[in-house]
Amino acid sequence: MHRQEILDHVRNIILATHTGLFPDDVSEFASMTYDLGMDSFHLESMISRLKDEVANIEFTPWYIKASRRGHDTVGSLVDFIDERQPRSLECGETRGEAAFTDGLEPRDSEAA
Amino acid sequence: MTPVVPERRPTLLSIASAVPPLSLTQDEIYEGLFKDWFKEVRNAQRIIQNTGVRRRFFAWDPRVELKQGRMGVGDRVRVYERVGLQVTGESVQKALGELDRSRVGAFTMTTNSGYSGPGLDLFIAKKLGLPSSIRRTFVGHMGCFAAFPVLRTAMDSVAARPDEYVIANASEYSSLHYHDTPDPEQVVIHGLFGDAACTVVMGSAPDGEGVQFLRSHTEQLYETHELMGWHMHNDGFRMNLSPYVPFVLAEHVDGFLEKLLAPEGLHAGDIKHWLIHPGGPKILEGLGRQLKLDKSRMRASWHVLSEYGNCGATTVLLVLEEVLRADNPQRGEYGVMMGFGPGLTVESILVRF
Repeated sequence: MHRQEILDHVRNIILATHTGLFPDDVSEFASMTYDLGMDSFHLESMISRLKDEVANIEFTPWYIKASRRGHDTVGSLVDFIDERQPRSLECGETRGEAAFTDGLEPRDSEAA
Repeated sequence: MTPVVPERRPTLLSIASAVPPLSLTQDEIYEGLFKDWFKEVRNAQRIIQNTGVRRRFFAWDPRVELKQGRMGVGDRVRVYERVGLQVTGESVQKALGELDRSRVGAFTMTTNSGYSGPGLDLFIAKKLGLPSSIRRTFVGHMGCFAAFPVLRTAMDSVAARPDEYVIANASEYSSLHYHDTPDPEQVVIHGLFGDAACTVVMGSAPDGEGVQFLRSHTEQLYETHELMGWHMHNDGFRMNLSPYVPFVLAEHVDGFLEKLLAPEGLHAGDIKHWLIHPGGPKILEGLGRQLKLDKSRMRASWHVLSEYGNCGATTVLLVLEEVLRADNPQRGEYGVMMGFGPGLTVESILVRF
């Protein structure tokens, strides 16, 4: 899984969980809480999907960085996943990639 | 290794809460104050509605007292001294009930809402006719988990002096520190926190008799200290609370519980009653999901969140009171009390009913 694919996936999840946003809003440099206005309900939906679709990643190191005001950018999350994604994702040989790809369809945020 | 079972255990003799007379629903406090304060914050009303709080109690009426804007910290603490003496005093008096006051050897209390010397504990001890030799310990400003150091102090005191009773109180008057900073994080905080006091009287009883506090466990997640804070400013105390806190707690709870339960030969599946500090709905939902507990397994925590709000250090004692009042725990069933706060610090006590 290349970084651009991860970015596309994260952007799709954000747009699906926070339906008030336009695609152009979700830039790499946008802070999720301060620029995109994501609250805990949006974040929970996003994290839940990432946990489901990016197995075996502990996000605490990113939460720590992200908690500094404005540091929870889309790009920082993508970089974090890119650095820590399981090798199987890069090889494309397990359900990890299938889940990643299947997850590209936006979901109703209320159901997440 | 099989744990050595002590002959006597720290045991709950009574528990009683007290609240200020003013109660407001979320709609009433929003329409009366927050609608104006947070008018520039996107979705402020929805954020407040989504806290899971239905109503809260207030040491003063912020709609009146803070209508003209901010107030200095000294003026806020004067209200703490006045209201705290009344409400905290009522809680302690109710908990003591008909117990022999001459046997009370220690009084431990905590608050995050105000400070004075002598403190509320001294004036309440005097008013209630407690022995002048009473040993007082004040636990200040630690955060929402501060009932745990208070209970642990009481447990140690009872272990050292099993013939004595110990008062363990947590009192919070968080509404005294409301302020009008238009920030989404502050909207969440102002939508959650309420005021209450709760007191446990602890004594000693043979192992297996009564509600007993078996052991505690604490963890500091050192790298996460920026995620939550409670700082003094010239115009009051102010909290910062990262929206990522619930996710961090959920990622650490399994390992944490193992450290609490394994020394007793227990695991999470042995726990019947979950008394989790309802810091906010996302904390309860996140921990519930991680521990595979449906909402009914944390009924008391959700009830307290709804009917009192997050009352800081007092909250987990309100949850214990609610479990004892409504859940009818059976003798021998286990419960886990958990609390969280700045540090991040995670606290817990294993209880056997």
